[in-house]
Amino acid sequence: MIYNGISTGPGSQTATSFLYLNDLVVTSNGGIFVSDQFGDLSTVWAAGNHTYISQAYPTSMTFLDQAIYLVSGLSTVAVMSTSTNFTLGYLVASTFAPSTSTVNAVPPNCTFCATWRGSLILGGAPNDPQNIYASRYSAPTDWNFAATDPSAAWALNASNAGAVGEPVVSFMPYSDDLAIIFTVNNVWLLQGSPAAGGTLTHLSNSGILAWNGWCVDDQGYAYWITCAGIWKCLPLWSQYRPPERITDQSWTQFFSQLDPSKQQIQLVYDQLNKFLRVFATPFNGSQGTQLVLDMRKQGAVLPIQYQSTAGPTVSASFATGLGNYQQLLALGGEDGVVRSENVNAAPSTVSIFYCPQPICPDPTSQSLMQTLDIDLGEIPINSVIPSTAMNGTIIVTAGPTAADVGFDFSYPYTSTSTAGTVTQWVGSFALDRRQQTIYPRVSGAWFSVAISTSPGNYFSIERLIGTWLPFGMNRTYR
Amino acid sequence: MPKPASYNNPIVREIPLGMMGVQRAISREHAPQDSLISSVNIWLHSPYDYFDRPSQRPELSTFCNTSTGDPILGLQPFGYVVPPGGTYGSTGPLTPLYLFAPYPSSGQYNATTVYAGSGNQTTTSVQGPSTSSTAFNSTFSLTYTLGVATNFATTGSTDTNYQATETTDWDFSVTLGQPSEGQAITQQAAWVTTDQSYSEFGLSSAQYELQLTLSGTNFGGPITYTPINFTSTGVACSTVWNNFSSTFTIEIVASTIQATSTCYMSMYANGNLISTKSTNGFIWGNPANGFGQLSSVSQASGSQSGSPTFSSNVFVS
Repeated sequence: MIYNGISTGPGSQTATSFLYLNDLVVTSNGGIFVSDQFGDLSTVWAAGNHTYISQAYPTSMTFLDQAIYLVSGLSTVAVMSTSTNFTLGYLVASTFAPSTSTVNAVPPNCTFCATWRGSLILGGAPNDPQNIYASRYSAPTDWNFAATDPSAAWALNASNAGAVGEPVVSFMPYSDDLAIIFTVNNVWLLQGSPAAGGTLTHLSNSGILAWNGWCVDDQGYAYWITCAGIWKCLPLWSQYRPPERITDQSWTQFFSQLDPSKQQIQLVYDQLNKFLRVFATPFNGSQGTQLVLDMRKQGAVLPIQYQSTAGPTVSASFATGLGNYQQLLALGGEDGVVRSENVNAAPSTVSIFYCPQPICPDPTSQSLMQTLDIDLGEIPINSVIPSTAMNGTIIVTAGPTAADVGFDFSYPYTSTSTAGTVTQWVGSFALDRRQQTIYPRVSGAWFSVAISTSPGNYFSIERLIGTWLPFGMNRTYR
Repeated sequence: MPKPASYNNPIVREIPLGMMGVQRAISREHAPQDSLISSVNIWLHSPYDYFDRPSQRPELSTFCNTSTGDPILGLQPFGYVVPPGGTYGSTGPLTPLYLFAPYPSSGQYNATTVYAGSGNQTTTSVQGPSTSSTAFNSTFSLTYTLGVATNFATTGSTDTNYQATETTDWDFSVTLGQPSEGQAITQQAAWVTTDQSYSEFGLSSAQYELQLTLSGTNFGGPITYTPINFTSTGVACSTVWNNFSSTFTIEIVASTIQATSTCYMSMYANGNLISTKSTNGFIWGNPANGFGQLSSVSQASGSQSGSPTFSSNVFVS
């Protein structure tokens, strides 16, 4: 493999051994940029026109044979060499018909691309939406679908594998032999090249919402997003275990209201945090609500929001290999800026407060809380967080309804309930990596736990386990 | 009276740390560092808190800024290797560290890799194997018909494919010289414009910039060339381009040259694509005959007046 360095200018560093790194191609307003692993940006093609890529539509890119291929609905496929000084060029398109395609005429107006089995995959052409095209193996300029050898270019609708029949939204290259084709209403597994006996197997009638609406985690599970939620399958097992929806009964309204005509919908696996990220960024530039699914032991589903300028319009999770961004979740903004979540940010002046959802141990009666075990997680000690800054206050509140035990989330924290209907217990804890047991002995039907600390102090909570005893009829039932 | 059995069997519940009944249960042994609840990532753990305190949104930092002010439309990581001595991470200009050098070998030019050093290089010479004894006599006949029509066919030859409504076209004729081993191949090209309203090129003023770009396929990989830019500054032209000329140099370095190698040339005016042409599978050499002999120089039809030329150097050895 030949490396073509981004630059050798001021600030560059010299490798003392072989380094394997990632850079990032960024597109905006027709411009093509390359960022190194430190976020230093070089302009490959200035913005302001649609010479190589669209100024308005998303750019789908893929990496093949030391070149980045870029499609955005234009008639040509842009090619940027990563081995020769980011030279830009074209694959030339012409009026396309599979039966008459010539070697050098690529399908025009494609909106997504991928690399699979060494071929450049194209699809999403408005005038041929149900089709997918693949170049000859390792020959992205050979689109001669008339060839019949196993490495030949193929068009899905003309292959023996058969056509999927409805508009293809996206294509997921999964492994050497497996790919998933997402249509509006169905999901298909493609096994093997259609030019060499490949077959199509129907996986699901879930469909997918957007071309960026799928991802694969580091254990090989494939995920995609629909209005019914997020689906998961292990393509290798798909013949034996159909895709399953992992967001059953969670955030149903959020998913059902996703609208690909108004939102840029993306599903990204965040390698750094082991999160699934659902991005639903409004096209109109307003602030969207994003979801975080903690995939460690099927953890929490949480909503977040970025400032409206941060989008993300597009996103990518990858390892740069160096520096502060060894693992990077790159978020493309509405304003030409690529951002990342600042997980190492210094503490703000705002104090920390945490309140999990209220819990009702026994819907049929009141309960008396006997104990609360707090598993304190690990906090990395560093210059920002000394061991003396690990502490917190815990407030257990019990009351007749969930609303009664809610909190006013302003500092200092107070219960919103009226006096006399709730009971509270206040205690404290310190340090990390230990289990502390407290004995609140408060009674009610609903309980909430609020944990807080003052500015400049921190805590980590891994688990809260409570024990309750039956305590008679709930007073709200009288 | 005995207590109910439940008094001896208290209800034990794990309080969900997330929402909607989805529990977060991370063992202490596997507690990740990011389980730290801080003012930064409290949102990961406490959505209730998030909703009521918007200031607790995830804090973002700028990774890079395209300065376009427009939405980011694409992100694509790509991998590469930096060998010992190579450089990485900089804000400087784009310059190549490694180049390919083609050399003849049994019917085609196979790739070899020559470390060309680092640093800013505008001209690079590369060294091929010493076993070659045949001069690289090749025919590189590019005839471009560049016009303002958008539906040009991509076949080269002469200017037969532009729209009839056009008043003129741009003609290119590119010819490879006959370099001996180790010499550069020089392409000569002439082009001329006559009676061409610049407005047809989407230009709004008499000052414009032209750019010629190249790409290649079946060269065993991407080709290297130096982008060509030249402007009309100082050239008299009002509403009509007339005998505008410029001279420039293009340097092509490819790893493999074979009969199917195809070169694409695109011309832009002020960043607007005028046309893209390909060599459409020209013959680089004839292996059966010592890689052939220079056979022809293909001249474009149409006007060839004026003196503008461009030369191209293909380094072989």
